[in-house]
Amino acid sequence: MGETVVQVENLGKSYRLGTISSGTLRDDIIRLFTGKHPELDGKRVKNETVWALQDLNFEIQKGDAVGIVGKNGAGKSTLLKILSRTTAPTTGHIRIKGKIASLLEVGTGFHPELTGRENIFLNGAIMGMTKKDIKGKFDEIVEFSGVSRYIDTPVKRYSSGMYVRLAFAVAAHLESEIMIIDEVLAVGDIDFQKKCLAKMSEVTQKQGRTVLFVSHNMSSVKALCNTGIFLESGRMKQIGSVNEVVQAYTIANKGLVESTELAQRKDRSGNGLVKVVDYYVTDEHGNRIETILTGAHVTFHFQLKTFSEAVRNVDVGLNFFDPEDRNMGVLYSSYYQQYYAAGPNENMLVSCTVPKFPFTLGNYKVGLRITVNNEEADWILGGVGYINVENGDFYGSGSPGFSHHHMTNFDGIWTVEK
Amino acid sequence: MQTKQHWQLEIKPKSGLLDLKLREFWQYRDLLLLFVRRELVPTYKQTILGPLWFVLQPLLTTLVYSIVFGMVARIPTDGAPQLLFYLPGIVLWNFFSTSFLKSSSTLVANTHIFGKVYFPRLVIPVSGLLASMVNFGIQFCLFLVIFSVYYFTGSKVNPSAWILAFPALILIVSTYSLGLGLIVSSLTIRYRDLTHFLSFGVQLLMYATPIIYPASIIPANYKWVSYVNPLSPIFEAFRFSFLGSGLFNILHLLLSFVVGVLIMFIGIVMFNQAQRTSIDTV
Repeated sequence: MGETVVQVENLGKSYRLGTISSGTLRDDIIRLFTGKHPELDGKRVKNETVWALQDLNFEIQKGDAVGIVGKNGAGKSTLLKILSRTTAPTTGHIRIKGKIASLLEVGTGFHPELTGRENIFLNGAIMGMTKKDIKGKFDEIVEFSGVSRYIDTPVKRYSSGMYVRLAFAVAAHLESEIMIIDEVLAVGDIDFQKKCLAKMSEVTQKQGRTVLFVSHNMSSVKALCNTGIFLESGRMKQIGSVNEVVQAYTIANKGLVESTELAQRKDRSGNGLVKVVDYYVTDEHGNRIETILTGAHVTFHFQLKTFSEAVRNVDVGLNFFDPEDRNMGVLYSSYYQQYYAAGPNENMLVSCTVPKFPFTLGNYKVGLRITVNNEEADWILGGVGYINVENGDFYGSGSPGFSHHHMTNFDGIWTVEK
Repeated sequence: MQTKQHWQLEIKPKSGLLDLKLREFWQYRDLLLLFVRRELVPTYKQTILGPLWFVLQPLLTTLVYSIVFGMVARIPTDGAPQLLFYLPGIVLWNFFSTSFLKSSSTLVANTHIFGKVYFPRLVIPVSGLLASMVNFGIQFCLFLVIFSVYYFTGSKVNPSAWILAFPALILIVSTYSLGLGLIVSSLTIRYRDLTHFLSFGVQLLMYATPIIYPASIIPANYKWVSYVNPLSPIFEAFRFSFLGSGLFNILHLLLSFVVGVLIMFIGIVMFNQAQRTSIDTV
């Protein structure tokens, strides 16, 4: 339907590793005066440069809200930097139609000695507004920020909350056809965050602007965007509707977690007195399964290992996270007054049976936290694994429920009296 | 859809050497003025003595120079009163060195802002230059006051109509401080050692410029030093216009101007190339 407002072709960005200087002074001088990269044609390229972005091609239509997702190091920030023109690409080009503004940070250029009023003008101008634009929006900005009483006070006297609110208020009133936004909007207290998100969706949906949004938070990506771009190792993995892309991203993350043995995982915290070394799920007959049906009788098994010390008062907590990394539920053995003990260098298998699995369709991350005497012994940040949940007969009546619209099922007894 | 689209902006790996984007710079003039304000206001706000320091500093320096170079080392002043001899040189040198040092630190000192938002990078060094100019204005007024006192009490000063040319002299100094500053700034991204050399280099340059001594006392076989240093004729002309003493050569001054414009141009070109990826290396 729409016209293309951003066109990215063959975009690539390489960084040199190691020494800052690329080699010889002669190369440097040639580059400085010709803009050419003599070393890019040479052989040294392979060991000295790393491509943060490579062969990126996509187009964005007017009015699209595009969520850019990917793991750390996938090239999201690099893409943002190039789009917002804070650094130049190494290859390819981007063509843009319309005024573009980037919001990689709120309050850029704020000076503590200047008053709120002076900083509004300075910050607005840094982001590309003219004095006239800012004057026209000044009252609106001040009102949105809620710091009107202190507007002529130097911002160094502001609380950090006030500071951030003022900074966001300026950013929220930027007028541009294309906006590039980093995960900066989740600022301030809960109320203000809600206000920010409301403003964000107003910007994207009502005013018909084109938005590029980068976030790790899948729920805000889903809430704000209609299109998604999934970057992996500097390349485009997928582009499409936001739901498809978020799902692909979630599944890709799962693969990563499962590819490493639990005992070898490094992304863990705790004192290490007890560690989880293996995990699997079985159905009611004891068969190992990877897919759980909602409402099924399942058992989660954890192989724990002790090291040089004997341990007592071991408490084991099982939890589940939804694809947007929200904690869906926690169950510690201590809730049932269950504590475990083991001697040095022992293995034990701790199992937790869930008689009626409550969560609906989707991929869930399984987390396990072990404490010894209430001190954290082991916690794997990326979770011990993922489980795939399919619709099952939770209610025992054959009704699937509205499983696409809610995350958990619960038992209930309906009665009627007349 | 092969219709030719009209793109307003193209982000490319390289930009033309002469693509200086001066029009875009002009569009950001509001920001330029706000940055000047941002430079100036905090220094005035912090203390009551704030603005006074701008006046005290050159006076104290003049006092020190009068004692060290005038009374102890007995360096002549071309017959001018010592206060009037040192002060204009010090004030003008302050202008040069502050604006030079400010613009030379542009790319390294502003990485944070530069990494977050785009605006023509040239705004920062130019705003530094303008802020230094304001400070110079204050110090210059101080000099004018002291000069008038001497003049009306009948001291030996011979001001000439060249006084009116002082804005041109400021302009020439600006081309050097901005141009050299931008060149250094572009180089410091890669060769950080330069920053260590900088304060030493500025000091060295000061002694190579007739500030604490008149150009007339340079021995004939070292005269080339003051010819090679393009700042010399500016300082001599500045002093000459007020005091009527010193070596004033309009040709040298014009040459200095041409070289200054050239240096500024080279500086802007180098800076424009360097700033494109400066945040990657700093």
